[in-house]
Amino acid sequence: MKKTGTLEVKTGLAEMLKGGVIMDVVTPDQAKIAEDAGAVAVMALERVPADIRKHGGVARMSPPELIYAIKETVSIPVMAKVRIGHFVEAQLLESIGIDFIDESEVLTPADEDHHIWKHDFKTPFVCGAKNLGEALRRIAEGAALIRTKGEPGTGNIVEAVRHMRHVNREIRRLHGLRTDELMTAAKEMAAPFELVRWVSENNCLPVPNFAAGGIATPADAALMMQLGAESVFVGSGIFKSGDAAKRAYAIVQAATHYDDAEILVKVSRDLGEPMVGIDIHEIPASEIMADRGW
Amino acid sequence: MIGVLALQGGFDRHAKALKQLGVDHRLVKLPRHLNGLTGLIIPGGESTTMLKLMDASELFEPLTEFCQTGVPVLGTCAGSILLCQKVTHPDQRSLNAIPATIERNAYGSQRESFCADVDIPAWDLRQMPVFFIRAPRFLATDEGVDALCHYQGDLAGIQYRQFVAVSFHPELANHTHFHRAWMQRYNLS
Repeated sequence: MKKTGTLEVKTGLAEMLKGGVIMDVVTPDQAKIAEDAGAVAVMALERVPADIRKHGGVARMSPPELIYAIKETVSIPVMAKVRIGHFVEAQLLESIGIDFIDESEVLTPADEDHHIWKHDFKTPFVCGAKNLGEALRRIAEGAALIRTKGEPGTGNIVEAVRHMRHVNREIRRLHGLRTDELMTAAKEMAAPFELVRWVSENNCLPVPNFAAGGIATPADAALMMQLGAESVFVGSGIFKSGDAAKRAYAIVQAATHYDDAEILVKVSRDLGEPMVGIDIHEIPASEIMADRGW
Repeated sequence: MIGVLALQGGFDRHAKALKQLGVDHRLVKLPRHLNGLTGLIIPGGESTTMLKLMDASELFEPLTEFCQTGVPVLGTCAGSILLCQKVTHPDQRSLNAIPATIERNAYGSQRESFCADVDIPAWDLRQMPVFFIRAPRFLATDEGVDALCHYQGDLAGIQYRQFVAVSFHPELANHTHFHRAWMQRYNLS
């Protein structure tokens, strides 16, 4: 009996992306550069987060023609973003045959109260989370992959570190709790009890856990991997830097050899200018992307 | 000691399966990690990416040579693509191990990925749930290559000398039947 679109089939693809780098691309040419550098998948979008942050306005799903053009250019999986809660944009991406949908805080939310009910789709979803409660709410809605939100388009890793540490600290805490303490934990983190119990018993998330938001250097990628990320998403960090191809290749190496300082030094040399970073404290509260979604 | 190529991809679940079976394993990322292995698993993932990472780690030549030493090698999904001599859709190079032709991503995008039961009669495995994730398909095989299993008429697993290649993921299902049978077959347990 052939079964499509089950959670296991969806997380199956996420498993195959482990130890890799998923790169934001806005043109087929960039997609080719990403694939040639060893990206494990590309994320098709209209503008990278740094430009969305700079130019403002409403950021939406990429136009279909751009996604088709990128799909035709590369043989690796192609992902694309939809606005939080915009399930019709997701229906479009599923119809196009996109491999993974990112319900992303980088785009302007379409619904400030509800996320997409992701069980309705055969295409897997990745969602951002700042803490374990948020991760488990997204998983309960059907997400097959969780990533840190970080603070996209800043070239500043501080928020991704905060989110990864937060999620993993809460997992460790749940693992140490008695069964009769789990209902209170579920109440406090506003997460479904059965998932809280699963995490407590298994000491990990039920889906893979990746990092995103602010990765700009090979060392940033390796930092997230050493903190427990199983792969990294790089948005503006590559194509907003001086030498995109070289930096992309270096970050790919860093995701594989994240615990080998000798290799990290080798790949970090002569990369040219990194993207210009932004101090998180200089961003007005209304422009913090990580606070979109709940 | 069984090696699991861990440049990228599905190495984690293979390592877990070996651990569950109480078998020592080592993640392989550099040429020196191949020393002394009695078996090697090349997992699924993105074969193009793995080729690039092999070049970067100067692992392509050592792996090609390793495949000529007679040590049992198992390839799953992208691992099969790396083992077959001819790769299509699109064409790419390989470790040149099995005289067979394989088509990449033969079943469509992730939307078409699926779980199904397969039989491997020669290994006494029946109705075994496995996962086809953006799976490849074996198109042709030369003399000496045996069919191991089929899925709805498509060749889904092959065996050649010390090589086993399957187009699916046995490691994603919650069982270790496949790994146990492979190790028994090649006296690895």
